[in-house]
Amino acid sequence: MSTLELENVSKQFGTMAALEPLALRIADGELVCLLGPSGSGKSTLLRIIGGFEMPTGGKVLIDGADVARTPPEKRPTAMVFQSHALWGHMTVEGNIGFGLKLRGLKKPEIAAKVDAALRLVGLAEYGKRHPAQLSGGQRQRVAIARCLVLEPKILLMDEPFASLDQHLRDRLREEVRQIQRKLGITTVFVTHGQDEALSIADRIAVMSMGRIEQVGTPAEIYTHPQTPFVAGFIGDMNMMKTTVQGGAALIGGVRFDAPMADGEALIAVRPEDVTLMPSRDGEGARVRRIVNYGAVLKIEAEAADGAVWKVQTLKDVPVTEGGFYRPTVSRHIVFRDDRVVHRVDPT
Amino acid sequence: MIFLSTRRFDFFGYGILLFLIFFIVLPVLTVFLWAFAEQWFYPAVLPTKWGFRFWSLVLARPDVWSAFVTSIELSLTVTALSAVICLPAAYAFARMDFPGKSVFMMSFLMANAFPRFALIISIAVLFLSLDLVGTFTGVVIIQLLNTLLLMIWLPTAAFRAVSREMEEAARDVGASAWQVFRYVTLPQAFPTIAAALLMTFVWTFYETEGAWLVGAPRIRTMPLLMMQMINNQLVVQYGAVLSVMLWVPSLAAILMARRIIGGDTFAKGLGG
Repeated sequence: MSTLELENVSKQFGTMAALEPLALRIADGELVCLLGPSGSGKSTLLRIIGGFEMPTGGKVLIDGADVARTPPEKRPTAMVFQSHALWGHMTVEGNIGFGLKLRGLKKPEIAAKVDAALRLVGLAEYGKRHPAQLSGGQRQRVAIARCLVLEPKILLMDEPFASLDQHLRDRLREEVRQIQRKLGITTVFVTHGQDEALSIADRIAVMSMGRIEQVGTPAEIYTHPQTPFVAGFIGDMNMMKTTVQGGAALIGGVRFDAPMADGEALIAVRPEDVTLMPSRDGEGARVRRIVNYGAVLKIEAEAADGAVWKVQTLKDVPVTEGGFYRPTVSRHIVFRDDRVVHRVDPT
Repeated sequence: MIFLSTRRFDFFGYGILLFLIFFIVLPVLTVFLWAFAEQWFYPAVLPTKWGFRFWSLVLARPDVWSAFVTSIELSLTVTALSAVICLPAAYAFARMDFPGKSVFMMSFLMANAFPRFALIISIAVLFLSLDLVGTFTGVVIIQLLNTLLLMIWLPTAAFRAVSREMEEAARDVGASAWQVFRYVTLPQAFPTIAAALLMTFVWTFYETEGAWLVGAPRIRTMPLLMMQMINNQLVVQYGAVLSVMLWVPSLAAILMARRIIGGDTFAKGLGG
């Protein structure tokens, strides 16, 4: 149905660059998450796609047509806001039907479409209520229905579940994913929660300081981060500064392969890629703390040189606080100058 | 400990209640009683003779009816004009940026901080040279000035309180700037604006200083007539009957407002 392409899109607020010129292509029916900390420019980018901000430069192409200068009411996009932004003086039906009314549709036609949209989000019985009579999750569902009823080419979601509790957020996220798949609607979803991005997205665009650091599938982003920022932002990571000498680095009693010129480097290791083998007292790393997460244990172990290992193991691995263990590492990434220089990955 | 504090709270609450009864309910009640009393001598707690004699006397006077009509006309005109002038201004203050915005906002406050009587006298002098003294137009203008503060500050706050995301959501589903205002911003701000309109109406209805200084002797409003009657004739019943009559329009306005916008939103509009 619809594709979205951003070409050299940039945004300047006064002298501050909110977005460096960036490019992103989103395929038809794809769900892409813009993921980043606050201030990374992800919401600004979404607002540019929706038409609420004019980009300082660049093109926003929807199905090949540039809409960068088109006001929001004339764009084939629909946005779900963080605060749901339902109109409190209208009923649920009124909210969903408002856009159709503006388009001059006849009443029976509006009623049928509103009804279908309400069914889609599982609120068929709630049409006559006012937003104030709904729960937080129901309101956000109405906001989604209000967008979908207009059959937009691009659906935009700006941290739609940020104000909901964890349980509800998980459920709504799944529902949104199912609806999005069913309708095949091209979607851009802004979030600062990596769990949310990893669980819902076809692809994730990780943003930092107005730039897109990396675009890839959740698996790619997780296992093959291209920059130290992505490595540190997604999931737990041991990020350790070190000095490479003779093609190797030594941290916390572990020797890392690093075939590169001598000098500073950054080594990244996932906690689940560290294994602890029992060793004699005083040798290896001492376990400072164990946190039991049910299925897994998260362990912190301090080596003799002061390096602290974050380790994640299955719960039946015998480890005790205060005990000494020798860490071994199965995968690692070596960064220098914010780029991947070497990667060890046996799989 | 808890027991003690709730007891003390009750005592405080009853204190306030007694205060309100003594200073508000009692005088209002007395006025009502006087309005229907034909005879009421000192030691009697209630009037010794009841009746509508003074009502027929008051209602038979043509000056009462003309003052009543003048007051209603004046209040409606002032409220309507004030809305036409102030509401767009309030929207501009709330949503647009222009040089001197805060100076303008403050100027409405400053004018009200000034002793009103002196301000009105100087305006009356100005009106004298413009031939506006003693005219309906003159009184409308002076009362319009009185309403500016209320009719700009309250609606400005109301417009400002409308969430941007709500307006953006309306743009998003296809509303033009005007449609956003018509279908989202205005209805959202409406309870507060209605409260401001109502207060403007009631204030104008009961305003005396401007009406007297600029309107006298030709323009005579209800409150002015009442003052005149109380000053000239020592018949308490005249004043009492007029008071009850004066109470009717404001009561009607408030009841109407409650019907239209509902008690909750109305209280919210007044900051309750």
